[in-house]
Amino acid sequence: MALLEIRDLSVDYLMEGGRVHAVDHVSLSLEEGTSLGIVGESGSGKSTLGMAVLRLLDPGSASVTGSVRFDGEELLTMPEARLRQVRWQALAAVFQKSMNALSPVHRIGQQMADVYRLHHPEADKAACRARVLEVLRQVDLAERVYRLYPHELSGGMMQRVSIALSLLNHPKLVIFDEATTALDVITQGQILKEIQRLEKELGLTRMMITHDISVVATSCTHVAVLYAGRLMEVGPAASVLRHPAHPYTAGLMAAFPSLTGEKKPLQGIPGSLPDLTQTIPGCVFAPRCPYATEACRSAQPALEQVEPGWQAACCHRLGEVKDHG
Amino acid sequence: MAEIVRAENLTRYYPQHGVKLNGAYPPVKAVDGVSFTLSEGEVLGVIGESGCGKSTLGRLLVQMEAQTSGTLTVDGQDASALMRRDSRAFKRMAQIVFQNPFDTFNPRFTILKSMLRPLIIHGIGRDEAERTALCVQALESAGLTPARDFLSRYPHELSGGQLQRISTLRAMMLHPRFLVADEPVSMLDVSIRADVINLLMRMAHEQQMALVLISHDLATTRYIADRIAVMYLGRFVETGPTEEVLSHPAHPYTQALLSNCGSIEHMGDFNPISISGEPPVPIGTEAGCYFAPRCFRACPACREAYPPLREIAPGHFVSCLSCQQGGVSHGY
Repeated sequence: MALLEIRDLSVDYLMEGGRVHAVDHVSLSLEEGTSLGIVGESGSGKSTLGMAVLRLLDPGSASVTGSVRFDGEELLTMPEARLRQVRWQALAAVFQKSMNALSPVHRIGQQMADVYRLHHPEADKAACRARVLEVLRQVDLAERVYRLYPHELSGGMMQRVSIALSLLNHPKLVIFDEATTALDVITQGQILKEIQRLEKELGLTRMMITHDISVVATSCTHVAVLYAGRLMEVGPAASVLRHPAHPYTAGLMAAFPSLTGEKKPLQGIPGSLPDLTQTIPGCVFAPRCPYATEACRSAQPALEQVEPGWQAACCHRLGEVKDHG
Repeated sequence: MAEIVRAENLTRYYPQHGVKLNGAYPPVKAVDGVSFTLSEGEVLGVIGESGCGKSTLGRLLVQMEAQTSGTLTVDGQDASALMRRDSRAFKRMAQIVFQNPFDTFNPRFTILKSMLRPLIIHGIGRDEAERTALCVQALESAGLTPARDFLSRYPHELSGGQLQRISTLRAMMLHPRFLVADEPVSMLDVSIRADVINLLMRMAHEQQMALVLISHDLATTRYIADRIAVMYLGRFVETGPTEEVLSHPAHPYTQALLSNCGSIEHMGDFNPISISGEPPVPIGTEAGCYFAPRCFRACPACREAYPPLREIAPGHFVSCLSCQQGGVSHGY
């Protein structure tokens, strides 16, 4: 059984005079021990998807439908009390702006110990401290960080503190929402490597929300490509990124310059994101797609299998995929 | 090819009153002795992490700030002197494109008004009709059609990619000899970056203009630049032809940067070089190589004097001692 099973998840943001269809019937599953990169451009709904899974969206301004089963339990209808136990215990998150994650006027160690105590009321002071120091060590931070204030840390160290915070209660699944985006190249590289090491050591499952395909390519086993709230393609990262079956994935790859490979002319994808307040009957990518036909504009293509474990929602799938192996 | 830009030992020190060393307040050395030359139609990519001084260097190159010392020559004329004597003439020669196009345009001006301003200031075109025609022509050349429709709109009505292309076109309408592009695509989505990048390259080529691209993105820089300069703490630590530097990085910092860079080719074999810490603040820097405290190949000699740039392959310069002592590992 998959650790996380998302079925037909839709999120509409309720606005005056309309609804924005931010996530539209997305189904994904995440097996234990794998890492899934969720890639999309701005407005693709990738962060909304993450927030919906964590149930962090305000029910007054967003309507969430569908099902999210985590470890066999339904998250979307779970009572608040149970949800509080699951969140941060079994299901943790790391966000982009780690500087905003902590109070600027309390020492880091104290704040982390508070979080630990909340979930482990039986733990005494020494036990809390020991656990905090243990997770700080796991993310390669010195013990002295315990006594520092957030402003005394650099962006990279602060991001490590955020990761340490997410690990406090031995989670099964960690959702990273653009968690390495604001970091410098070297810091990002080191943190990605650490995340992969921790994953092996602690048996974590990871969901990595990012706009940067290279982050997914270097650190994830699987990838899901979102566009305008819909799932375009999902499968093993190596297959999807090397031989994309969906024209949108192919377009993204053609727009991405290579660091070591052949130098090909870069091609943008003409056009822009459709208006998500409208209901789009056909494929959302059709207006920008070079292969689109009348059929694409009238009916929404279903996700179809390209190879076992690899699906694409397109009636003009690219290439003789099997030839490439 | 004619030389357009010559920078000799450019420095920019900022006074500060926070950190005291030996009874004095040493300055922040944002740019600390940068030299290079750039010819017609040549593209130099300046690579570095945040705080390395790359944007300050960009501002020095178009004289938005005066250098603390050193000389900058553009098209045979001393930039600082020309800036004092006739700043308009200098600005017509040297233009800059910034990272955030939404900050570049006055939100209350239509695109037409924003595009006309530099033409009016520099006396290009006889009357408004002729200037407008120039704007239309520029937009159409970049595929922004119908051009008249774009000209009547306000910045918030356009996408970041469209605005960034207009920002580039506006700078290019003055036919500068030299353009600095400071992180021109890092704000943009991948699918629209290509248009801006291709436009920049085409313009540089067509107008035989020298282009300095400032970026933290190695893959994008590789695509655009003929030469690459890797900057660390205010200095160039390695420069050379793009492919040569990227395939045979000689400086340990360049090697670390490259190996830590996420890439769509890395798939499955991501094995970055570990280096500890983050770049220090360039205040009261000690003798010796600035990178030595974090370097995985540093030897005692590295801490004695800053290593000079030396040529290890045609046009490929490195300022590192450990390489000199046979430590160079071509293809790390």
